Amino acid sequence: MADAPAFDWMCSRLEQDTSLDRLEARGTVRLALKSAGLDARSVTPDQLKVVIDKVLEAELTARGIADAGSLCAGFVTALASEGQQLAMAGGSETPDAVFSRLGGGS
Amino acid sequence: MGGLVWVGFIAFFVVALVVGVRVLLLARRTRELPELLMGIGVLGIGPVGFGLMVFARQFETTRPAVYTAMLAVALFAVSCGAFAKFVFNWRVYHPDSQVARAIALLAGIGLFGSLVYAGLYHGFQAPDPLEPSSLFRSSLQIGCLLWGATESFAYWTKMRLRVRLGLADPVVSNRFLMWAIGAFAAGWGTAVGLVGQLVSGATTTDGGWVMVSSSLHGLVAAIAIALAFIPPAFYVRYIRSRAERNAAHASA
Repeated sequence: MADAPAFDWMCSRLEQDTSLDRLEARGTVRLALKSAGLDARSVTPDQLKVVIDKVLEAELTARGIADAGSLCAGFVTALASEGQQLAMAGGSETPDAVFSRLGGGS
Repeated sequence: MGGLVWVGFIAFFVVALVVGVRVLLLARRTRELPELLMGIGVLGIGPVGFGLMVFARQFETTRPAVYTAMLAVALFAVSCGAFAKFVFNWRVYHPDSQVARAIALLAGIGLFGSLVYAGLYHGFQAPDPLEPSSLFRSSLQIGCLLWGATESFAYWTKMRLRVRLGLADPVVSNRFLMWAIGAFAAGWGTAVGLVGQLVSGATTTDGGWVMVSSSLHGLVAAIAIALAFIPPAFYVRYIRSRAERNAAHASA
């Protein structure tokens, strides 16, 4: 299964805006997603926004990226305008969506 | 003591019946495959399969034809239930995995193959746990439950992290944990019961420690499945307030 468009977008932005190379950028984002309990294959733009807000800044700071706070604020702003295009089209249903319904009963 | 031992069986029967019917009604409304599979799985292995097997024993000596017919329906229900759970595990947790797909399809062939074998060679008579088709079917039944429990537990570990960031509903997260406990208790209880039958020759309803073990596992499974799919309001409030406390503690 391919990585989610939101994941690829985030990695590209990190590569463009920081000194991280492609491998480092992808690894950093994967680690941030993992610590948020998310997966590169299924992350949505809305989930990514929270990860940028609450996890990514610390990951970037730990890697010596200067001014990680304003960088992340810029990512969130960019994501807000591009989020709809990045939303997964016809992706597989996630287990949490299934289990959310299963509690609905009759 | 004799009556108390049945508490676990009865609790499991009632909870699985209620949850299975509710989920099937949900499937009728949503037209989605996962709820249909979960409904068939819970009803097939629990109240219809196991329940009918226990009930059928009343007719073993008095009406052998009725007994055999009930056993045939029960074994068919268990096979359908176990197959539905294999497919659920594949479709919900690993929809793109060829390995998971192959496991589910091979399990289906094994389950229905052993059913045909039991019909052709034993006429669906009382399943001897040492008989190959019975042993094979029980192993697959245990396998689908333990696989489901493992997947659900693994997903719960991710959901816990999401809940801390406000990315997931704590009640849905807890549903994964409760389903993991319920499926594990059902699978492990079946495994212990099977080993007990092999060692002592007593079935899960003949009394003795095999019956006590199966009933206790049934009770644990019943409580966990009820908390997962039909949680009482006080439990939902407790899960939500605990999540809020944890979030407040984390941000402090």
